[in-house]
Formats: sequence, C-alpha cells, structure tokens
Amino acid sequence: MKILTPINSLQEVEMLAENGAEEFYCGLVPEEWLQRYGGALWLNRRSPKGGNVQTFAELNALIAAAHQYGIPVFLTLNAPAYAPEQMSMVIDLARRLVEEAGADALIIADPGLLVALVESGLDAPLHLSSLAATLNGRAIDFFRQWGVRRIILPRSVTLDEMRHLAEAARGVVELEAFILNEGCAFEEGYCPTSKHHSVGAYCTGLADMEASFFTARGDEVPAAERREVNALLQDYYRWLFFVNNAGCSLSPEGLPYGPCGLCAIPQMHRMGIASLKIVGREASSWRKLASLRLVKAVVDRVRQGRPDDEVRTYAQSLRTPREYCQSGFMCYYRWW
Amino acid sequence: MKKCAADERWRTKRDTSPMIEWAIHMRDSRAVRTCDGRLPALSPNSNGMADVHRLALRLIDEYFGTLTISRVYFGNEFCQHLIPSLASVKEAYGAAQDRGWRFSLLTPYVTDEGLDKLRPLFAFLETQGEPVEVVFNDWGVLQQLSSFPHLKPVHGRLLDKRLRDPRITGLYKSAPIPIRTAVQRSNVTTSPYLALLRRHGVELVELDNVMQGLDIDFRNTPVGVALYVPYGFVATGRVCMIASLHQPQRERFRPETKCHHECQQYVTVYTYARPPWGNEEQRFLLKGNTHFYAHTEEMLRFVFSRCEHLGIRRFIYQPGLPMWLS
Repeated sequence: MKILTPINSLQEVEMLAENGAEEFYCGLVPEEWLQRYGGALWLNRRSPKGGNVQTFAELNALIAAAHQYGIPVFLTLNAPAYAPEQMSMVIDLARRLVEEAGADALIIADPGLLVALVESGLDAPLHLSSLAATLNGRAIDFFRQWGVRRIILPRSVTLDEMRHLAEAARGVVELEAFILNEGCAFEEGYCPTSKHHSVGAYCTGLADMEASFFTARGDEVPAAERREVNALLQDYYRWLFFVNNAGCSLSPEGLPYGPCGLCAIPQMHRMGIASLKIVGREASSWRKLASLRLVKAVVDRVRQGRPDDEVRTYAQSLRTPREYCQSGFMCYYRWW
Repeated sequence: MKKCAADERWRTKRDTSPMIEWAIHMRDSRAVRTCDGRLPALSPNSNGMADVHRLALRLIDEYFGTLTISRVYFGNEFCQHLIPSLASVKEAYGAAQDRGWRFSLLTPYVTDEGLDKLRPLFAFLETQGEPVEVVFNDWGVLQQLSSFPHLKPVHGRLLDKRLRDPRITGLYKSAPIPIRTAVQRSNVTTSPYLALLRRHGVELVELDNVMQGLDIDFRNTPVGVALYVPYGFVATGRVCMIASLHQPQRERFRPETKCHHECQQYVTVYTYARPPWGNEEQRFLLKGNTHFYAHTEEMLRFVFSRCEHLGIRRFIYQPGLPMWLS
C-alpha cells in the first residue's frame, strides 16, 4: 500500500519525498491549450495556474528528481471528456509526457482517450480516474479489456463494496482509494458541472440558493413537515461544508480538515488496496506536507502490525477538534 | 402556422423530417395501458412543473403536429433504488406489446447490488421475440449486456460527460469560437469513442439538450442520436439528501443510507437568492438523488428546428421529473 501525494512544483519533491511520499501525481497544461482556451476550460480538473506544473522544463526536472528517490510520477489527463478538436492535442501531450518527460503513468477518464491511447501504441501504464465511476465488478472487467493497470475508486464506494471490488480486481488490476481531503456531494463521474471560480462548485452554491420543498403533487409542504425538512437541509449544508474541506482551513495543530478515511486504513490494507490518494494538487506546500504526515503516521502503524482498534483510536486522535471527527460528516468511509 | 421569428432557418412541422421516432417515458404499466398513443395533454404527475410541460407540448405541436407514440421507455437512469421489479417490467413490457409499441429499459449507474437487480430484468427481456433496447449509463452495465446478445445496448445521457452547468454554460454561447465549439460538441463523436461503441454493438446515443447549445451532426456517423424533452440533469449521486430525512444525524448522507423512497414524496426547487449572472429566472429541481433543469423555449426551438441537421433520430418525452417508483 503506497501513499500517493499531489505535487505541483519541483521545489516540493525533496520535502514530500523525505516525509514519506511514495508516489506523486501532477498535471501540466501546455501553452497551446492556454492560448486556445485560457482558463475557461480545464485540461485536467485543476485550473491551469493553480494546480499544475508550469513548464515542461520544470516537469522534466521534477520527474528526474522524484526518480532519484525511486518515486514514480503519474500525470493527469483526466478531464471527463475531450471534444473532437481537442483529442489530437491531448494525444500529442500524452506522448510528450511519457516519451520526453518520463511520466510513469497517465491518469485518464475519457473512454475515447483510453481507446485512442491504446490504439496509438503509447507505451505507458494507464490509470483510470474516479471520474470513470467504476462502481461494480463488471466495470472493472470492461476497463481491464483496455489494459488499464490501475482503477481509482470513486469516493462513494463503501468499505463493503470496496472489499468486493478488490476481490474482482485481484491479480488483474490495481485499486487506488481516496484517503484525505476533498469530497464530492454527488457522484464525481456524474457531476459534469463547472468548478470555475466564477461560480464555484454546484454543491457549494446550493447553500446560497433558496430551497423550497413541495409535495410530489406540487403543493407546499405542510408546516410540521417543513420544520423537519428544513432541519434536514441545515444538516445537509453542514455536511457540504465538510465535503468541501471545511473551508480549506487548518486545525490549530496545522493539520488539514476535510474528508478523511484514516481509520479505514487497516481494512483497506487487508483488502490489498494498492494506493491511498491524498487530494490537493492546488494546495499550498504546507498543506500537502501536513496531509502527507497525517496519512503516513497511520500507515506506519498499520505496517507495524498494530491492532485495528489501536490504529483507529490513534487515527481519530489526530483529527481535532474531536467533534468534527465524531460528527461522521468528515468521513469518506463510515465503517461503524 | 406560427412563424419562428428568432431564426428564419428554423423549420416548422411541414418540413420536419418524418423519420423521427417519438418515445414516452412511462411511470408504470397502467400508464402504458391508458395512454391514448399521443403525448399527454398535461401530466397530473408533473410535480408543479405544469408550465414546463405546457411549453414543451405547445412547441412540439408547433413543430411536429400531432404525434404518434411508437416506443415506451421504462425504468430509471439515476438511482438503483428505483430499478423496477421484474413483475413491473413484465407488466409494462406486456402492455407495450399489446399496444404495438417498442420497449426500452432505462438503467442507472450501479454497484454490484444494483447489477444483481438488473440481471433478472435482462434475462426476461432477452427471451422476448423482438430485440429490446437497454439504455446503459454505466460501463459495467454495458459489460453485463454482453451476456445478453439479444438485447440492444443504447448509450445513455449520463455518459455524455461534456460540461453541462446550467448556471453558467449558457454564457458560453458568446464565448470565443474554440471555447464555444468545445462545449457544444461531445466526446461521444470522437472516432475512438465511436469505435468503442461500434465494438459493443451500440447504434444509438442519447444526449441532453444543454444550455450552451449542441454543435453535433450525427447524420454521417454510424450511430444515431436521441434527445430527452423537457428535462436535463445537472448532477446526480449516491448520497440522497431526502433519503436521510428520518435518519439520526450521524447516519445522514451516506451512500448506503436505507432508502424508503422518500423521493416519491418531495421535490425541492432551488432558486437564486443572489443571481450571479442575472439568471434569476433559473430554477433547479431536486428529486431524490438528482438535480434537473427544465428546457427553455430557446433550447427547445433550437433542437426542434434543427432535427435533421443534428441527425436526431428520436425524442424521449418525460411527462414529469423522471424519478418514478414503478
């Protein structure tokens, strides 16, 4: 079980490698894309300037430095869909990332790009993004046919479901699971809304809208029921706050809030999950480091063979304030 | 006949292609049996969305005249808790057969538990005389369909992953050409994607009518295209807010929350308190686990007037928010 860490600059390699990163992922947006689309359309799920390595030269150096530590680097080409006129540019970019920069794998989501890359003969492992929404064993079979090496499970997969998927995948494809930072209110692969800063995430924006409940016949909900549904709505908005990283804030100890699966690591380790993904390419170096340390502290105890209960208690003790953790709203995987 | 003032090129019912098939999404077998073969004048189950349907029906009449239904859609695209029972599929299929209508089963994205619910439905439909369509919105469902060679897979609209955000994408119509073109086209029309579909025997792709407009031309592609009217989906997910209504706080908003079909009781309408783009008229409709938008007059006129150019082979009319418990 590896710890997969986001990175977006050469300067972060040493810091993250020395603190336990075992795999890196990052993105790069070429100048050609920026000239054509500016920041209006995203090549890889992060804004061009905010979450990406800025130049090929820096990427080359980043990958070379990571390889010095024996750490592979995966590159994101994970837009949910590329339009017909974008496809050739993305395929060319894929080739440059692999053949010139030395990327160890490409993270993709668009089935059309998957087929195009396989048929292009590009010699690179392909990781299937959570945006492909691989929720069942037959979907694993489907993508396995196309030579996918790793599948990133959607955040909505429960631990029970993950166990079954891990059995279906055993020996044929690796599984990666989210472990820290940033949730999704919807199924990520079925939420093709904009994350552009001018509107923000659709789910986040719901709290700024007026919500009116109606019966199925279109009548207003009676007053007694309205109190109940309004209370539900307030809980929902509170859950959305945690899903969206609790406002990207840090605890007094400097640790990141936001969705977390730390206390499920012992179970995921037994299932044979290949990699634990920390989200946040766009985050500050400090936040990346704090996230990595948090995950590593728990993974180390699992690797030492400590009992599950002890690991869970320890993991929960790291999440302060306690009421955030105990609310259950900060959990990817509520295993209790 | 009313003139389409906004665009002289818009067609009217006299010169619209007669090759378009009209399907209706039926909530249950009773609806199939009682339908008179035309679009319903106004559905009693329109969830307070009568204005949406009034508009759609008026424009359908304007562009196409009186329609004859020839296909029934049955099932659900968004939630595995709304997968119909085998008994209800048998009833609906039988009712459609009695009417001489073709049958399409809608399926949602699913976990393995959802796939287990679908298999008996596929097994039943597989044994029927005429090949039945199954609309898949999950690649695992398509993979499962390979075990049922008599069924015809149709690519569902949830797999059209193009940017579709009704809050903002309408503004892309005035964006620079490369941006506008990219959001109006679909990855479904790339040659590798089409090759993938052909390999799996897919001959029809369903899309939503999106705010930014459609720049597609399926006339010369190996697959046809179908569009839904009058709702598109914004986002959907396994966490269903309303399913948590009677759950203790700590148990709320989990993908595995026990469903009691609370979605059948409520619709939530979101409107802007502070409209970001002057779009104060917009509203988003939440039913169960899915947010929807309603088609505007401009959107409907756009596709109705360009059916032939877009290569539209079928429209699917949904007489209410498509979250029925069949």
